[in-house]
Amino acid sequence: MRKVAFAVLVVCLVVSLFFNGYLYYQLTSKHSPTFFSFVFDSTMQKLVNGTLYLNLTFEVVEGNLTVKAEVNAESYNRYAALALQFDSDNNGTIDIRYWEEIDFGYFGPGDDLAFFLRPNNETRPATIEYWYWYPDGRIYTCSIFKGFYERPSQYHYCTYENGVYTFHFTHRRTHENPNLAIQGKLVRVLYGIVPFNGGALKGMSVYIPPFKFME
Amino acid sequence: MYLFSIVGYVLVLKEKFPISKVLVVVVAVCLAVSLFFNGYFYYQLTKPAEHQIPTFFSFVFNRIPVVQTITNETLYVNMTFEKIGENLSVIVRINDDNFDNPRDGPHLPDYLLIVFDFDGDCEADLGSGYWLTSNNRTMNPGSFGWELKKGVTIAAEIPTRPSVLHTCTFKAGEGYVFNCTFPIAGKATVHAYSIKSDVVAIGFQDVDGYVYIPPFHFGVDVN
Repeated sequence: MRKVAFAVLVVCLVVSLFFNGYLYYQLTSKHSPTFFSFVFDSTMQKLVNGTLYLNLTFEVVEGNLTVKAEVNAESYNRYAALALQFDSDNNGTIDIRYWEEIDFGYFGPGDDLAFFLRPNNETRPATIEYWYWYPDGRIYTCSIFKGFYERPSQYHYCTYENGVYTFHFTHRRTHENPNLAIQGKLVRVLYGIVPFNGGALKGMSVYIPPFKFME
Repeated sequence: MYLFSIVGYVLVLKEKFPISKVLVVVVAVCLAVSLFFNGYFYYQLTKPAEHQIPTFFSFVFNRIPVVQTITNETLYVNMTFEKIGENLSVIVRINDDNFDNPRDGPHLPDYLLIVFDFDGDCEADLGSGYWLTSNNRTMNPGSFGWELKKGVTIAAEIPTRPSVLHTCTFKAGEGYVFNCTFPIAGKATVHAYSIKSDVVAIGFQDVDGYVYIPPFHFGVDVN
């Protein structure tokens, strides 16, 4: 009987120590979320009558980067959009393609990952046929058939409550194909009212140039 | 004598508490401690993490004409905010590649435009800001025209004065360091308004171009 009790205790101890190691590893690799709050008064934008707050929280959870973006709005708008582009290859800059001669910004194969997120949980791929993002922050969409161009997102969902959109975005930090992971610590952000086909009207978007979201 | 006593004592203990019993107790104690740490680590992992506003901010501007033409490389604007006594210390590092002296030509010196919340509405007061030049001069807030998106426009020759709010150094290969000190918590001076909240907007101009950073919270309690 004593032998059995001893064996059970040893097994429990081994399992418990294993979990201690696992939890300790998770704890030490966990980063505190970083929080950024941008403030656009009524002279800087026409999206809301008063001040527009764009709050961004970044956190790495179990190998995934999560971004929570909260932004105030006067009413739900199907055409609202949040755009994010990361330094996904971690080369210290967000690589932006720009054809200066004809003032044209575009995406190409292997570019830093960019995401166009709608409040109805739809998205569109970051390729020139769907949308493009100029280096100075302007975004243009191209669409003929909405249903064809915008599709359910596997990276985000969005809620709208009490006049605030909350976008929840998640993406892996590592992948065997490095082009499919967000490895770097830079992001650029746009929020605005972007139609299915065309760009945001003047004052109907706010843009935050690339910044480091994590030490 | 003592040695004999100890050996005797151990022998008695051994008879009273067989080794297997002792081992069970030891393992049980270890298990209890281990389970305690299981719970502690799990709690630490799952408790809601507090948001942390960094006090170091780094913005990056690609070398693309519509973004910036200040340097031929990527431009970094790095900022550190710290409350020191009754002042706010702001250190801004910008890797500009040349020092433009206004004596060399008909242009303004390179300058940092820095805008705080002076009236307590938690917005950057885009009607008034600090104009801090690379040759350590300034003007009173409100005595010059400017737009955050475009920079300073000075129509007439307005006298500048030596700045008591900042010092600027330039090092080839590294760029500018603007070391600024501003009063907070109702400590306005003849040279500066007091800062009422942690909102700031930044602009930087050199003879080759201009960049700006929209207003954001820098996360230092200034009250």
